[in-house]
Amino acid sequence: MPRRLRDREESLNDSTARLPDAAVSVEAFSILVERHTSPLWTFLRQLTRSPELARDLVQDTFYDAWRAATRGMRPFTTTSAADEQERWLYHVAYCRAVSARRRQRLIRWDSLDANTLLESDRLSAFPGFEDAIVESEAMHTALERLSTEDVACLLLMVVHGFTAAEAAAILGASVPAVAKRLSRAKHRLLAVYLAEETHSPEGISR
Amino acid sequence: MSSNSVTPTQPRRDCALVQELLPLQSHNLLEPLAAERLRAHVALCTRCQAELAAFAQLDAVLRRSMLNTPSMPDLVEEIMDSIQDPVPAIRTTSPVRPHERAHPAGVRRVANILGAVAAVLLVALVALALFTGHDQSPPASRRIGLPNPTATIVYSSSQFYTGGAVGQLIVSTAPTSEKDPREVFAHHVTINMCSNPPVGPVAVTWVATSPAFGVALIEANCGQGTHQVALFALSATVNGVACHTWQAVADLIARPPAGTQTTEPPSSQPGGIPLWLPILPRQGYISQSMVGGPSVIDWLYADQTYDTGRFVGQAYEPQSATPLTVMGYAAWISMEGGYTTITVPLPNNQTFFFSGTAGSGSIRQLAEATLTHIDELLPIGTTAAPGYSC
Repeated sequence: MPRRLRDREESLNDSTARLPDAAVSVEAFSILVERHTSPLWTFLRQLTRSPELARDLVQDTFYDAWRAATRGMRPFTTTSAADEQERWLYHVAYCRAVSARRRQRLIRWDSLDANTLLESDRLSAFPGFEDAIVESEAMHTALERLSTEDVACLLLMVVHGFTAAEAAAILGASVPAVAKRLSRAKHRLLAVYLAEETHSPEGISR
Repeated sequence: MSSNSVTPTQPRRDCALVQELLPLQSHNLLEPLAAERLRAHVALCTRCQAELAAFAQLDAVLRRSMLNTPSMPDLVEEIMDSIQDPVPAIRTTSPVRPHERAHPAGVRRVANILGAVAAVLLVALVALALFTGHDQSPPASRRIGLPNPTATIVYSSSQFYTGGAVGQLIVSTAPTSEKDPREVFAHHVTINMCSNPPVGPVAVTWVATSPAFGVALIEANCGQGTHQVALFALSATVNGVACHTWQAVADLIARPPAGTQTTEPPSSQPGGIPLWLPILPRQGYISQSMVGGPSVIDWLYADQTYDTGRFVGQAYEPQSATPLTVMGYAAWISMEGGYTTITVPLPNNQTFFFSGTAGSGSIRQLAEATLTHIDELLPIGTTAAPGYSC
């Protein structure tokens, strides 16, 4: 089950996902941070293609959220739903990623340290799953050949479980436009991914 | 997932009719009629059955590849540190905690801000010293306002904050009873465009102004070949609600140096030049944009600038403007600060403009092309960017 659907069910009985009104507590905000940091980083890492930049953007996104919360602004009030807060975070993160990508056209860098950390994390998390690692690498490589908007659309709807209406709100597009983009993105991804598999020295055969 | 998942059978003629529908089947995005058409086709077509299965496998691989990420307690800690107490997080002279050493960029962000704060104070002092004794009534549209600023926008050459989707938001104390954004800017806003004092004057060119909105391009020579350009907007309303004070939002970026060979962004991507817009060349530029309520976008080259926008409200017409008709609309053309600007009042109390460092003929051609596709390039939003409110 996509994680977001699971979260949505959990949130039904999870009043701590909501922040108090004007006097928002650090504790309540920290719950929001803990819940969304890793998924947001995953989302931003693929959009920016830089683990380190993704960390910065996650931090910036939560900084914006904190500023909004301290001003008592929606969706960080007692009447705001956890879904609303999540959409807000992803929208700001997406806009930041687009802005960062724009700048990356002139300045590009790669963090070897961060990549090394990521690989070791994955290996320790999934010992023995060599196929899964190859599969994952092929997928990451395939995603890098898609546009930022296509990747965002795929991640939001396939990975994070947002509905088309929610993805449209996050991406600032209409629902029909999101549906069309999703269709095209999946066709492109399938073609690129299959090509990656074909060229992979190990190949994948399951 | 195997590369042999899709059975290589000959595509049927009607496969093309359901190609767009296949990837959407698992997302419940199909209208009932389309879903039925797809179901009926797939039931009889082995090729599309295989492709449908391939898309399902693709979804599964994508989820597996993305969702199995480690928890990030160090990043959570960094975020909470910066929120609760930004000072310890930037204590760069004290021993650095292991996670800060491993990921210095997050710390660098806050440090840059404080550096920029210090820089703006320095620049303000230098600028005050420079301007004191000079002409005390500079044109508001050409010089940064300095006396008693009540809103300060702080930038450094390497870092800037955003209050939402783009740029930096400043909730100023300038009352909206003042109706000219140029005056508001001159008397209530200070911008530090560079980490160090800029070389020469900072150029401010207002490309559109109205009693409730204004947009300017601000450019500073920061030395060492770096020219910082801020796309700056002031608004008296947010989400259609009148504010008591003017709101400012800005995006700062370095103009690409001469000889830059950036890859042309696809026309469908933000900042990409649409295929129908006859701007040449299509390489060596970088763009800025604002979204949400008004739409503004610019394209910066080493030696050229183009910008266009649409906002709600009626623009001020400069005294030096010359009337003309653009695609049947009564418009005007004006020239200031090396920019040629065509402004077109539209129905529904909206204003469109196109401005650039080109001749009147080129700007007119660009304005007409943009007007034809105005909803595509310059949508008028009903909500502002997150965090953008009175």
